[in-house]
Amino acid sequence: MASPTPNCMRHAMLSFRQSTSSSLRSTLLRRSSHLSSPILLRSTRGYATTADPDPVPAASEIDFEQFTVQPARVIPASPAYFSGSPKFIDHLLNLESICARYASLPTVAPGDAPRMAWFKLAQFRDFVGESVPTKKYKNLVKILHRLNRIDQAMVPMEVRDTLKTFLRPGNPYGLKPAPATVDDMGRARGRGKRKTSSAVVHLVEGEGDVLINGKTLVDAFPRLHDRESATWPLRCTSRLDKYNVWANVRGGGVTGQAEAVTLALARALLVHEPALKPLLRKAGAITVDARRVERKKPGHVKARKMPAWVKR
Amino acid sequence: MIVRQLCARQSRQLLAVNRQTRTLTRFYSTETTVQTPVTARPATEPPRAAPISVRRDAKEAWKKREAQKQKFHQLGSEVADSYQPEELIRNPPKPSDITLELLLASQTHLGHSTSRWNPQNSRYIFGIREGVHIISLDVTAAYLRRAAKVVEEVAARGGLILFVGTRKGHKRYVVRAAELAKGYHIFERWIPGSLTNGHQILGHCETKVVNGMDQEIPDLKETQSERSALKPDLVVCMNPLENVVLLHECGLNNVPTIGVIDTDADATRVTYPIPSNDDSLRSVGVIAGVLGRAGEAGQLRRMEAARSGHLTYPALNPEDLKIEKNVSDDPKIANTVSEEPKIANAVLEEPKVASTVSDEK
Amino acid sequence: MASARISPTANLLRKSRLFALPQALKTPQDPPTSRHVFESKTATLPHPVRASIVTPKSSLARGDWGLKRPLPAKSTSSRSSRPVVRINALDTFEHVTDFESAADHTTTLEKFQELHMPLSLPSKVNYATSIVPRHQSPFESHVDNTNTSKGLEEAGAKQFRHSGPWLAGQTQAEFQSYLKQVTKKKPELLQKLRERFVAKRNAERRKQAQDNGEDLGALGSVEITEEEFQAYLKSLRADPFSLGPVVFELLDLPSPPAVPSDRIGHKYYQSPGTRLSSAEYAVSGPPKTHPSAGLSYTRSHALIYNHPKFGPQAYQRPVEARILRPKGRFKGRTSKAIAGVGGIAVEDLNAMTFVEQGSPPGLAYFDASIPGGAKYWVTPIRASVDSEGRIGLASYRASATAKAPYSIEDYKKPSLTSITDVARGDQRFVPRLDRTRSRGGQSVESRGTEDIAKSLMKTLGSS
Repeated sequence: MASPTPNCMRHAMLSFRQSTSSSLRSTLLRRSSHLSSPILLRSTRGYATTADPDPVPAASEIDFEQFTVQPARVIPASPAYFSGSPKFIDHLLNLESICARYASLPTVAPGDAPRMAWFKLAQFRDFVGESVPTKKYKNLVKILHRLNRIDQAMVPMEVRDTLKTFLRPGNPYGLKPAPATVDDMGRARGRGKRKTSSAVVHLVEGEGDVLINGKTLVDAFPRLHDRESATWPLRCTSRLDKYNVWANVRGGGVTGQAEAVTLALARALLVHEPALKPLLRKAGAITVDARRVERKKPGHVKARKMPAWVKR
Repeated sequence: MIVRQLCARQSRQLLAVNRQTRTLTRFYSTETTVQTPVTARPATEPPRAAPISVRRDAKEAWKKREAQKQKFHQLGSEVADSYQPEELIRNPPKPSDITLELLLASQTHLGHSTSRWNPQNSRYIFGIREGVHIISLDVTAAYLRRAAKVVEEVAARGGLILFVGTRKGHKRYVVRAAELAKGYHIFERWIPGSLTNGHQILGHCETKVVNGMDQEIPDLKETQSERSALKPDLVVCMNPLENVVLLHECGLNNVPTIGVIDTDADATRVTYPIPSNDDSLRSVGVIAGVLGRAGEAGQLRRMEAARSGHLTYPALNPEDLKIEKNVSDDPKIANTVSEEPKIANAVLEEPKVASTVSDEK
Repeated sequence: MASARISPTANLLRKSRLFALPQALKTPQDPPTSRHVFESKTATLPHPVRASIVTPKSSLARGDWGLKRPLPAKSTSSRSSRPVVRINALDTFEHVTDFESAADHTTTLEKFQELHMPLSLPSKVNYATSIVPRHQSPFESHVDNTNTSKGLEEAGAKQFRHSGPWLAGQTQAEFQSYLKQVTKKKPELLQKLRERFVAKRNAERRKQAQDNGEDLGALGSVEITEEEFQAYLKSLRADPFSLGPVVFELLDLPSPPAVPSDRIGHKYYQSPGTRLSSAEYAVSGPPKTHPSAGLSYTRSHALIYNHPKFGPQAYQRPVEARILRPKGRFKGRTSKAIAGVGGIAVEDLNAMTFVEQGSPPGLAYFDASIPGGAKYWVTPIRASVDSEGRIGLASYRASATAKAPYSIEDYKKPSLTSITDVARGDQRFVPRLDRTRSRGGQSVESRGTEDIAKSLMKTLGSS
């Protein structure tokens, strides 16, 4: 009886066994009712062991004020208590019930639904305070996505509020970089990187002059292929004679510098003429080549090369 | 590499040449700048929700469509007394609704392959048909009624009833049963040690102190932080075969269990077996529904008693809550604390009565 | 009443649908030949062996088929819009409900029912004359009899089932065991034989009296002594020709196949006139099922097909048949073409002649160039179930009149050797081939009209 839980199971079994012997049961019930009402307890001490010499007075009125304040038992806060992650499961069941309730509402294509920044897994774990496995959270996010696809004109308030609780604080998708513009002197600036080179290009409308680090194109890139590379965005759009290029390239070798200029030039050109984007994309001028030299590892000759195997 | 690059460049150039029809007019013109954005940025408007009138219209249209759909569904002949699978969740059968027909229709009689049987279950088995054991329907009905009674009594005495169904389609039935019986549910996995090592595993899960009307007493919330984990007073297991660990822990902790025992399961693992098919979702749905309804009836009884001021179970010992320190602050609690030894005594006396009663019998 | 005594559980279980599922039939056996039979193990059986099960939509969504456990959606509802399964085992040692799709036989049945064919009694189709035998429904009262039917007492009644086995189809061991059964029943058989002998003698006596002009009413029954009966037995034993009919009648055996021609001169146990409803049953054995096999319950094909536009039609809408095996030499023998009509293999009835004009492409020889495989249109004319339980379908090539209202026609191969109008020379104007080649963009029709106009102008001008 020292266990903190109300060990009522014993009562249950007892009464079940005793369901036939009604007299015993009735006394038992009377006992338990006596026990349960706190007011009566004062006068019923020793009832079972010794006979009370005095006649028992009638019970006083029940003090309901007291009854609501008296702690009766300790119970779990959530019906999913024994699963080990009650909050997560409560959220999941809540979302599933909402999803089922509003299943008939019209939905839009996933692409047309508003973009929502749900909690990242770590954030969600902090939010519920339980270590939720990745897969289970992914399934929950699937339900969120489904709810988010409900036609915006028809979303019930309940869904709106529920979805809001799963959003990351702030609005990550609202922070878009301001579109680059041509400055007041007509210059567009673009930056690009390739291998270890980085280039900054200033593009002005002009007659087709190209200056790389203060040198002409031919001086900067003696190889024809590199010159072709560097001016490729202008060439593929046939704008070689419409713009003047002023580029600053640092680091890397000749090829890297030339291709860094390509990227920077293409980006600068897009500031002048955004409509060229598909063309430049097709021409491969604004595709970033993110490859870098792989580091050398210990035990290897190069990044991956192993020393030749020698018998003994 | 040069050759490759050259090829790539050349092919790209060819592509670009082919597409020159698409290039802008600027290509042919001598002037530039057609749509070049200027430094002065226009104020961008944040995307707003659809205007109210549009939303209302869409809602009206949808409501109309739904109404029409319902109207069409009502057309045609009416089929009475047909089986609706969703009714098992929406409106589960009560213990008084248990009939042999219901059990037969929900496939409770289909046991396992005869080569899989556990001879302990021979008293529940009616016969063999097409290589499987057939469980006797009247035995199932009797044991199901007994289990329902147990659930009802436990619920009426404020016990914690845990419904466990960890197989694939059990989730909705288990959750619904727990919802009806105001119990607790597990539908994913029983974490081994939740009973024997409860403080480690369930220690972080929140509990609350409630009064006789099941209303939370928020003042006592902070006293709950160092309590050991709670244990259920009755476990209802829908698939005992997969939850051997759970049943073992229940046995160690003296927690009674109700289990759906198929012909290949060990009936001695559970306190109250219900011989039935445990593979069919429909039979599991019926059993969970009946037990959930029984729990609901028990809870109703308990609340009725609470409304008339009776507790059907021994009240919490305030000593356990460790509230002596702040007793003086709260006059109401202080009142009750003075009686706590009596309560403790009374509670201690209870099992004595129980033992004498059982001896007499 | 035994049924009133059984427990409510037993009563309910007996009435349950699961218990009402019929037992599985025996799988059709391979023909007992020494020849090698090429058959796939996964091929559709000639006739269904187990009952097919369907479930309502709402239960199907939950996988509930009324069985031990829900069936997985992956192999039922997500694979087919109307899944039908057959159950091999309710539960196995591996905790699995063994089931498979029963769509093979159910769709064949559906396709067959779409042909609107009544079933006939089997009859040999004579290919030489290509005359299709008359339709005779197995539901006619004088043929729709088993050995216990009351209709057998009528004169000329035939039956499709006898109580005795078909001796011609038995193996040695089966025959020996049957002989043992018969020897056990020897006394009652002898008694029956005696009765038969008495009846025979009575009839003889009656006939004699009739011939002599005696009073028929005054005739008593004949008394037969044991010696007479023994003498009769001896005479029967001595003469297989007269013993044969007696044996077949006493044991109620179905008729055997006809005696081979080389045995005709010898002594053999003659069979009485067949009582089988179809002569085919004597050749291949009595049928395992009712001769209709439950495929169709219509008695005749006296239907008129209505076309929404052209009104009543003499022929039903033709059915497309896939050519499974073209006519020609196959394993060293010439054979008829085999087509598949609604899932049933059919021999092409029209393919009698060796060289045919205008036969559909792909029928005479295998042609891989036909898109989608070789097909042609047929009109089914006769369907029957043979003694093994297979559907025997006969079909004609669809006539032009049958195909016309539905504007369907057989696939025409674009012939490589076709001669243009120009080459035939029935056109006066010879077009400049080089010039037409130079301007490729012009369409053929416009060029044709241009040529016609030019030639017209020329003729006008010359006249």
